[in-house]
Amino acid sequence: MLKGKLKFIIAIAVIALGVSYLVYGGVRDTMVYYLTVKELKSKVPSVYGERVRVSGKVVPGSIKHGPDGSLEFSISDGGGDVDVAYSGIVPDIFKDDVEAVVEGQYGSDNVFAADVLLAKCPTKYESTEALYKNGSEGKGVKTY
Amino acid sequence: METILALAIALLAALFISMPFFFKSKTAAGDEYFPDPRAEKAKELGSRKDSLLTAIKDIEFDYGLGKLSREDYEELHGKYRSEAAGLLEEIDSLGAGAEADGGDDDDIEKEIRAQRGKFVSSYDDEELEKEILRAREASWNDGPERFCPKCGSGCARDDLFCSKCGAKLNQTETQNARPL
Amino acid sequence: MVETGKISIFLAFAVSIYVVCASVYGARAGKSDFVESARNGMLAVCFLLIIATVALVHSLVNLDFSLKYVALNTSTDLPMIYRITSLWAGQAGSLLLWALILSIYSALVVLDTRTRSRLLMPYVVAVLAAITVFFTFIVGFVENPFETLPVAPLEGRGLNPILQNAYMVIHPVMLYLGYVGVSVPFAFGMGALLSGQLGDEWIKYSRKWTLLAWTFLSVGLLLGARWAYLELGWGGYWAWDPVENAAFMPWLAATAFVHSVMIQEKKGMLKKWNMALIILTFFLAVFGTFITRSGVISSVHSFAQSDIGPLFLGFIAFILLFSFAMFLYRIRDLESENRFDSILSRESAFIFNNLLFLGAAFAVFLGTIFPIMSEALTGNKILVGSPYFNRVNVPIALVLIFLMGVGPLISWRKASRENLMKNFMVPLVTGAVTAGVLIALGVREVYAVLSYAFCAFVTATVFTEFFRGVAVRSGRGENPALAFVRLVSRNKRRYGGYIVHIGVVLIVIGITSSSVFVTEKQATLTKGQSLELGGYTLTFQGIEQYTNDAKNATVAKLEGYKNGKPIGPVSPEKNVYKYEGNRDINQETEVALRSTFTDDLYVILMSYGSDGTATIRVMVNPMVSWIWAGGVVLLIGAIVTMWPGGRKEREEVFVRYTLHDRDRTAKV
Repeated sequence: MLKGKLKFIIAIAVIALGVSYLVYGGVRDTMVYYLTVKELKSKVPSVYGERVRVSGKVVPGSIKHGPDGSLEFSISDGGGDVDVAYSGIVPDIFKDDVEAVVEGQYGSDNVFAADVLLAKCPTKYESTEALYKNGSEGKGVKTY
Repeated sequence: METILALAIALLAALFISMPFFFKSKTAAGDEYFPDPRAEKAKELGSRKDSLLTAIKDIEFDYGLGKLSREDYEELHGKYRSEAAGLLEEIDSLGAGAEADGGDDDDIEKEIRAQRGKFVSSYDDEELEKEILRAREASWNDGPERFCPKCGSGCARDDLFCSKCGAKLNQTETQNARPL
Repeated sequence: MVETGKISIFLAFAVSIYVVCASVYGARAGKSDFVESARNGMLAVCFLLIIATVALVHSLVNLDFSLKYVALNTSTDLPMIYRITSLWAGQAGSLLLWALILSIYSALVVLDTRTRSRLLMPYVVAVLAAITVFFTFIVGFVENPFETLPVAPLEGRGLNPILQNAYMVIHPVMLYLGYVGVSVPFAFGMGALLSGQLGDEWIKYSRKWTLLAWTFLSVGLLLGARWAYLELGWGGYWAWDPVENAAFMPWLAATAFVHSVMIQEKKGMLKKWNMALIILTFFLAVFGTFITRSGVISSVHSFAQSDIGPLFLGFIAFILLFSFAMFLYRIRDLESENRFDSILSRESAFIFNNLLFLGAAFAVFLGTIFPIMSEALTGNKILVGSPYFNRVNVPIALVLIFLMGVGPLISWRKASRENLMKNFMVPLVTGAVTAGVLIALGVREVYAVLSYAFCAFVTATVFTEFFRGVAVRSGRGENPALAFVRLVSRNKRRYGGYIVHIGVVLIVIGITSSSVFVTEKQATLTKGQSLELGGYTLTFQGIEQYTNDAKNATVAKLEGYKNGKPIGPVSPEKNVYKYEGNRDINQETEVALRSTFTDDLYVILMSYGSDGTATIRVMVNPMVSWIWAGGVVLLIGAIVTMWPGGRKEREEVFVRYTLHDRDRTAKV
């Protein structure tokens, strides 16, 4: 029966190694650095041509729609702006001032060529401040 | 108004929760509520005995289908029988058993026969299930269907003579040789 | 109503604490009145949380903007149905729903075990109550949905339009029922550890409840996928987003559990494994809630950032420490009654199935927390995207599908090679022929060929099983249809499980086809121009605009043709919702979808110009509808499996074989 047990151990080891190999290979080949705009700028020029993910706020007024559905805009996080060129599906919530996440390569022409664009709702999603803006004043509203 | 409503709800909840302290129902009376450990033990032994007997029945069934080698069958059967004997003894020593004469072979035989009786006399669906099981398993195990009473080698159900030793196979003899 | 709701939550919190104490004390001291009182307490908690929920729904429906929660999640123009569903649109409401569902489950458990399992149940009730304590604490003291604003605004912020969708009415509820449902088998497992009643009882109950939770999770995941497909407008249904993974991980662990539990029932093996697995499943469910609710991992679903993170982490740490301490304490009572005999047996097929499911869960877990981990370890935030998840999970899934075909036909204990070959001949040939035909047809994607071949293999094994059963029954003179119904109803667990497997096969075929063979095209069209893709032709008729009460819509009018035959108008939209308030999102892309069993035509209006041009993106997604059809089949199978009644008595007797014990006996 020792032989049978050994077989089991081998089979289990094969599965464990197989999964580990898949995980290791997957991580090695698909990992990307997640940077802020500031970090991206500080990594020039080594970052050129490398695949990275960058997040920042969309600079108001910077969004330009191209004729063929392409998109140009800038993102910033206070530490400088990055121009982004993107073509593809634009999330509904993408607009001025939202937190945008782009993935792609930063070219030596200092334009970020993105092929992934995600947008997040403003972080103060559950803040109540906004409820009192917009001229819709509550009953005897106090500003606060 | 609102406060009264909230208060009423709180009161209702409190009443409901404390109810068992005021109205002790019969089933909730201390000793009967928590099963006696001895009785529990007896119950557990009983169910273990049942599942052992079912296992014996299953072994016989599988042996009959040729799913088990004779060697395995005898080994398992012996092991289970002695285990069942031990169990019966334990049940008796707990005072929960019906008979006082310990778990001798007769007892086990009786139990096994009773179990078999249950198996045979149960309703048609049960039979069908077994047949389905057989059909499902037939192709997994194409072992012998029955065994020669003389030399013990496997034969097909329809064989008239044993292919190994040439002994005549008849229905009653093979029936005896087969465990079921 | 607001005060009542608030007080009800506090009361529920207090009563839950009482239930924990009374139940444990009653069981330890042998005081049945305390145990009974604790059981009533559990029912009372359910009652109180129902009142709290009704109170919140009442405020939502009546738009009581003095409540912060109502002001943030509703608006005067919100239709009635979405006012009600706003209950789970925000943080506090979702957590209240969690607590409510937990208390309903607990009440059902209490009612289901009225007269049974008296040694085990007090501890199970105590564990359930302890979980309730945590959630009612959060809802009562940290994220209270009844928090009021100093001044009520005139208008609320409104509900995100992408959440205003029929699927969003039902999908979160399903997922929550699944997440929370996992608490019940966990409570039974912990109850067994605490009480020392480690027999078959806890396994019987936890199997039942895990199956229920598993079904809800499966349906919830599929509904979420369908929602994303219809509403998010990127043409896919699954993106390996942290929030999706959060629900997927407990699903994987629960799937492993519903399989391995059978080994414990049948053979008395894997007791430690099952216990560890149910603890792990619950951990993943709470972890999932944590990810979804704390915003600790950035997700496009982007729920609130909030301060419940540390509390959840503490709770998770406590669960893990406490359960594994109890596990070690009882470890000697969890000895296996049997051993594995052969690597070619059903037992080992189950073991491999379990290892692979856990491997997948581990890989998903690692990928999900990778950004946090890498930041903590190296200071750099590194993440792995969907390529990682696909690379790891696709091969694992393929082996699992293969095992799904092997499991039902291989025999227990030990299968001999010749018999295996004979038994698997038909299914193997079916699979091989499928692969051959596909290769001959020019399919060169290895994964796709394997996936289809394995699916054919599984289908063949399942049909063999049904066919054998029906053949025997109809051989007795039953007509085949009746024979089929009787066959299934006589052994609901086995055949229900097979139906679930068929559902999974359909889903896998849909996923394979739509991910490997998707085609897409994007073009800017002027009036009269056409676009062709995958046999479809779309002719642009122009941009139209219309207005209704809720929105201003811009529609690209397209005429569709499939292989020259008209299929009617195809009209993707871009909507701007009227209510400007302070919505974060007032734009919505409405895709035009034409779904058939062979493929889906998926059309998105990307942008439109003032000169009357429109940029549209067209995708042809093959066989996506198979995924949804598979979901329906899976649900039917799960219902069959769980359908009550039938051979209760028989199921409760577990037949356990011990075979080939020569080693052990020899040593003794």
